[in-house]
Amino acid sequence: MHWLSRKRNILMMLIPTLMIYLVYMIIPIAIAIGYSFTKYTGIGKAKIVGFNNYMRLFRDHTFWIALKNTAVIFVIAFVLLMIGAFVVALLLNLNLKGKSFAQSLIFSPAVIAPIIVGILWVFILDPQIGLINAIIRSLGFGQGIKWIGGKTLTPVSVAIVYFWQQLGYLATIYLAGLKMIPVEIEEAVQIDGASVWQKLRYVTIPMMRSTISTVAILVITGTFKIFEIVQQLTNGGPNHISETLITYSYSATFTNGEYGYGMSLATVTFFISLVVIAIYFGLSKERGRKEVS
Amino acid sequence: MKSVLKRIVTFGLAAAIATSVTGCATSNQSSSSDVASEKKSGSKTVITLGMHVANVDEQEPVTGKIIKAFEQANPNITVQIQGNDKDAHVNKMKLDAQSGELPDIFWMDSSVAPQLNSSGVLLDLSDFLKAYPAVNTALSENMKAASRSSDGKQYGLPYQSLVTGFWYNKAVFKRVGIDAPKNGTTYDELIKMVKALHTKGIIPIAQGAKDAYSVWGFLTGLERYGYFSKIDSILNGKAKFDNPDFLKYFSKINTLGKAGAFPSNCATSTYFQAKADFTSGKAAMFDSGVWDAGVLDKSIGKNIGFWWGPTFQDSSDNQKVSMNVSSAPFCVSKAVGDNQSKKDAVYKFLAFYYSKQAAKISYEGSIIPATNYKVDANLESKPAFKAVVTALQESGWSSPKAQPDLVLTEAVQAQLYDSIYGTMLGTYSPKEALEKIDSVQQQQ
Repeated sequence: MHWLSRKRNILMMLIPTLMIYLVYMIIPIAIAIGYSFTKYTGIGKAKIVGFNNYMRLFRDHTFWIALKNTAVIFVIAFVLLMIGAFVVALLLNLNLKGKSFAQSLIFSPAVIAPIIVGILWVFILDPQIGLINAIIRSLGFGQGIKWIGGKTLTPVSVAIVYFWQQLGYLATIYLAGLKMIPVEIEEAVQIDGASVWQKLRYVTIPMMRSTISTVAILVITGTFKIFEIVQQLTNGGPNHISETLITYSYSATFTNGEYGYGMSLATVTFFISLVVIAIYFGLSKERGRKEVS
Repeated sequence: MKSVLKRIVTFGLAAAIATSVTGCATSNQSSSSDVASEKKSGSKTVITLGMHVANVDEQEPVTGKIIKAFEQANPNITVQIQGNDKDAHVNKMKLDAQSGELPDIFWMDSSVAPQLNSSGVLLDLSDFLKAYPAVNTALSENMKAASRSSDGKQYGLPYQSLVTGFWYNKAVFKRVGIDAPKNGTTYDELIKMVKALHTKGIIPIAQGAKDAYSVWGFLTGLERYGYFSKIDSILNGKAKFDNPDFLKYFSKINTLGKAGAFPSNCATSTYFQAKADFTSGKAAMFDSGVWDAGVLDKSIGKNIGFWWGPTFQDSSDNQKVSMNVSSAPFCVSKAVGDNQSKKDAVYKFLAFYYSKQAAKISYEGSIIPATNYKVDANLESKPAFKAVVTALQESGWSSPKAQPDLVLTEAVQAQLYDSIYGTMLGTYSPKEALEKIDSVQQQQ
């Protein structure tokens, strides 16, 4: 143990991982940030343009649409997933009949490739060929609703699809957290006569704090990375009204050939997600301090 | 002793990971050098061909057949195809250009090829045209001019002829009891058709906005408002897309949308779904081009028709505009010029690709080649292709030097498509749509 606790040895053991992290994460991020200060078509040499791309970005109407859509998706997906996955995990933690089957069923969307999830939901949400509007029409409630492709509902639909895809995966993480709560504590709470709500409020949730944080980070980073679902459902359209930050960044970079501008979008997205994570940690730390005091 | 053992194990693990990382790199390097040596060795010369489709035999069967015929005629040359879907292919070519690993010959998007030329990675094909005068004659001037820089460098040659317009289904028009369009049909007549079709629950014009580029027929309309007489001034910053003529045109597209010309799910449909609507008889017209002739021969048969789109009475510009122009070019890597045997093989391939034999293969596969050879081909079993050929032969109709989008940069091109679809769907007002193109143009 003494050998392991020496700083030099710890550093040496970390070097291979750090090298990989540096080469495949840090350096590409730094390069992307560097390109965000250039005008570059992907051919020849990049021309340094200072903060022009960032100034253009704040004047760009589509950027604000993409930001608003990303925010809508984030808020809906975050609330639904944090609560929904936790409720599902609590149910799966009970000794109910068919629990294993339900667990497999709930987890199954997580193993489907996001691109397939997108295709699948096109056949459910499409205003003309989609299942939901077909049911609405057959019941005689008019021509249906523009779940995707309209001006308002697309980000909500994307959030619902993402919720459907991630629910089982996040519930499984919560379930693992629930299983780690010592049985003795649960028995003691029961003997003390705590209600289900009191047990949840004062024992389960506080003891799951680190699991909840992990799930929160996964949801935050996940929603800022939703790409394939949007690509398949609307391709960011019509006319960019359903773009998210990441699909707009892709479109600017690879469809329009504006690598510098695309990288400025990617950089802003990166920093926004960092800020959201920092806010979440700030709030949860504050809450933890209050509970302790 | 224990501590020494632990150190050895730690170093071993670190070294193993480091070696595996470098090992990967070494393995890749050796494999590429293997390919290089393979290309040099033996009696065969290998030329690489970068294509914009993943499976040439399935997606570009005519090109596949020409390559096979070439290899049969030249057993000492092998054509190695490197295919990817269009966007992936274009991005790969950009990366390959940076790393000096471009394929010998490659298809390139018309908006990107001039940039590659400016960066000096393309071979000037003027020598090739001099060495093969028959090819030089067979390629008409507008076909060659589309891939020639202002300093006279021939940086590419047309892959095929790009013929675009509107397909229509005669049976659908007959069912509704109205006349089908013909070359010369006016916009006002089209609006009447659209209303009649829409009332009967038929999609008048199949379009899929999810594939924003699928606006070929509407691009031709721009030239009926004098696109090529204005575009140089627009690109020089002396004029704007937002001008009275284009505003008239975009207002008409907007009116078509309001009249129900496009599918109700146009915003979430792809070009392929639009095609399915047309081939299944749900749509009366379809915005596309000659490349769909084979599919339409099978699905619609003798009821298929082809026209160049509506003419406009409020425009003083030429209305008899067809669209038979150079498609995206084939370019040749500059590195080919440094290797005489490779250069000979590439020239032989290009000479074959633009030969009469290849033109015959093209016509038989319902593709209009870039060359103008007269070829005997029986078109009776190809009604869709015959409809295109008939439209091309109509007297008085002429094509501009290029398709309007192909003279723009990628970003402006993308905004043009977006603005056309935005106007169709009513997301943008006509003026707003044009201002958006100007805004992107100013960023270039």
